[in-house]
Amino acid sequence: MNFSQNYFELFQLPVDFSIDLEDLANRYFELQKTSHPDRYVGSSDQEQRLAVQWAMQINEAYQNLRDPLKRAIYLLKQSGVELIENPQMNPTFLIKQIELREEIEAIEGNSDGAEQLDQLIQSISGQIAELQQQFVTAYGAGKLDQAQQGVYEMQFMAKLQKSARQMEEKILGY
Amino acid sequence: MALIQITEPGVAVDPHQRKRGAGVDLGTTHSLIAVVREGSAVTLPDAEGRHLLPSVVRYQPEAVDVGHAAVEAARQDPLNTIASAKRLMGRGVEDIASRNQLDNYQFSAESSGMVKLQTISGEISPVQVSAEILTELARRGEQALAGKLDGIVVTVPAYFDEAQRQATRDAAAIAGIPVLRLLNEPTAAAIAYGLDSGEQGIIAIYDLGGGTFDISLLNLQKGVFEVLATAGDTSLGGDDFDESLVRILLNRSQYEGDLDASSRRALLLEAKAIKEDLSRHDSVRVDLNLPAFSWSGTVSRSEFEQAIQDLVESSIKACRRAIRDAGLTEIEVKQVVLVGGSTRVPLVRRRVESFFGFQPLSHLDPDKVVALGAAIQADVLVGNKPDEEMLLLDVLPLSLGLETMGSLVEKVIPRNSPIPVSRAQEFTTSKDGQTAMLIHVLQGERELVADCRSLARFELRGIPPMVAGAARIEVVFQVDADGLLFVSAEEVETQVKASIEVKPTYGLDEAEITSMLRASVTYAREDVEARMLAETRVEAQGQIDAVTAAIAKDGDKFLDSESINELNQLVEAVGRAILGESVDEIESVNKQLGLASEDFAAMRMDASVREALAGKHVETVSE
Repeated sequence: MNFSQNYFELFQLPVDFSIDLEDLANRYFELQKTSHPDRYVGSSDQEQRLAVQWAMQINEAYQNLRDPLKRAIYLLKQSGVELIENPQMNPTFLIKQIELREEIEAIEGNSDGAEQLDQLIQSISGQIAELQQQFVTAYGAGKLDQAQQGVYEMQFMAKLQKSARQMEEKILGY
Repeated sequence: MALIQITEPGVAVDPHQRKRGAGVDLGTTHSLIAVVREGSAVTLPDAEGRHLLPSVVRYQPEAVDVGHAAVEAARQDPLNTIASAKRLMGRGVEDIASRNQLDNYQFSAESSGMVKLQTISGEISPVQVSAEILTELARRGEQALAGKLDGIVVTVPAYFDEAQRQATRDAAAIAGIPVLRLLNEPTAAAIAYGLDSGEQGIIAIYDLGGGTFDISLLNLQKGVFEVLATAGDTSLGGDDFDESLVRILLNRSQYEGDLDASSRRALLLEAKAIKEDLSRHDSVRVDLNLPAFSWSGTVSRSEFEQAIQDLVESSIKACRRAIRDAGLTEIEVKQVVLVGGSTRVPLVRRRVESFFGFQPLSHLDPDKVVALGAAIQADVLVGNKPDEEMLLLDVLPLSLGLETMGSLVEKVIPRNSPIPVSRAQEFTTSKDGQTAMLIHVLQGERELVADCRSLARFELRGIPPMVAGAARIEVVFQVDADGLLFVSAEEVETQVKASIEVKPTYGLDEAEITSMLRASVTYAREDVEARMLAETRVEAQGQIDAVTAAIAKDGDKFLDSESINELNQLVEAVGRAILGESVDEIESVNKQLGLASEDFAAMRMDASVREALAGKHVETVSE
């Protein structure tokens, strides 16, 4: 089994942050057509096993490439930059995080909470898009420290986004 | 890559011989079997022309009735006549007790594991009830296709958890029918509709059956059915509508006494009939004549709709969640398909239409569409369409995780991950010198262990004593294309392994399955040994064919003549073993062949993955 190639190589794409998601999906389908276990139902046990392993690898690669945050983390990893668990963050950034988190929590029990939350989610999405843009610039210029810091900020924002969505589920009851 | 055909040894290989595959919709209220004939999928009727087999089984001291005959007996013999067994699959007593089931059977007192029902022929597991239904349907399939089925695709609600899926697989094992794949019901419906209409883009499948509700969002592109997200409720369906009507009837008749089992069952049957009439009429005249009480009056549709409004609303909430999970908005959904008999209820149609903003598709019979889709998939999987471009990419419906400190659940694989999937997670010991670790596998979205479903517990022993936090335990979750989970754990430094196939907390163990297998009527007719031998031979022949075909195609490309010779000799050895009568001998040489050809198979697979995109992406992929 040759899993030594990285996810970009597997999908035969340049190692880069910018990806056309539709093109990525089409490549994913083509790869799965050759390796999905459904194609090997009548084959020998070992071929079935190999197919499952490949299908898993392709799914894993797809999940990492299609999600911008995971893609950024993966790119850093490919450049030898590992993320740590509790990074040192800029105090201004952390204060802003606390404020946003309080804003989410304050929405619970608010009568027009759903709408406020919707706005907040959109605002967070906008900030994430900005961070991604900054990552592209930093990564492209080979400023890996800066790119890494950007990824940490993206992680914080993603967690915030998740909390906002959970609050939304709670308010709307689904 | 073409699927390789497997033929029974000794039988002449006819290259045009079609394999016998069938799709089975094992439903809460009724079940169906469908096959592909002359290129199109059809459901199969019984001798009297009835396609729907009621999912009802009646146990008698010396016989078992399945379907219509059992339904007829339901009133007189309610406790031995099991309906809606699907709702009990992979469930424990406490799951049932928490639901306000009106037609409660006599459950066995045992408090752990899957529920069992007390009947006149002893304790019966819902898995056995399902096996009886599968056997009955397989008989139809075998008659229609003139021979034993090579394999079936069985559909399950997309939102079925691990325990419920395993129970369904076990039912087929007890019935002695090989399962090609468990297929999610909405995905099956999407196949039937997708191939019917040639639709591309995002479609939603709203599937409200007798006992379960599923919503799935799929992206249809050039023969690929990619499930983006799925949500639902495995205990919401038409049965609940019936129960709402029972409550209306009890309320209106002001009967306050206890209901005997037979009156209760009769009332439920009455409610079902009223519900169906209310789909066509604004109000229905009712004359109840039960052992317990009598009542006459009318029930209106609006009264019924008011009673079921909350149920319908909870299905809409699930739709919202699925759309959100798929990263979509309502407007991106191009088409909505209605599946399941309960979508005939007018309120359901109106509500789905108002939610999505356009009229849903329902031109394929909502009762049959799932079985039809399953038949198409079975036909492809069994190898009748080697050039078929159709491919299903499904997802895991519920997150999988592990118990960590403080009774919290750490998610290992989040819901809606494409399957098959493999994820590893590292854990460490919490005490100095800790040599064992309990691994508790859970499924669900909530944070607390108590709020998730327990799938299995197993223990990793023999961890070398180290200080707390020094051991590195890697737990690997693997979910196959059926959505079934396998878990293994290993201490990374010392490579101490513990692994189990997750036998769910609410499942059957091997011994139980074997004893049910022996007890089952179908199996008794066959000699167990002879069956084992036949199966082993088929498997070995399959490997012979696979290796021979691989050598013919790619032998020169990857192997030197010495390796080819070696493989050919082993192929011959397996061929000789097949002619003998020893299962052990066949298995042993076949295993040797498997090992010897492993590298070759891996090289071929690597090459085919590499070539998947070659030449193609220029015109098609980068479009």
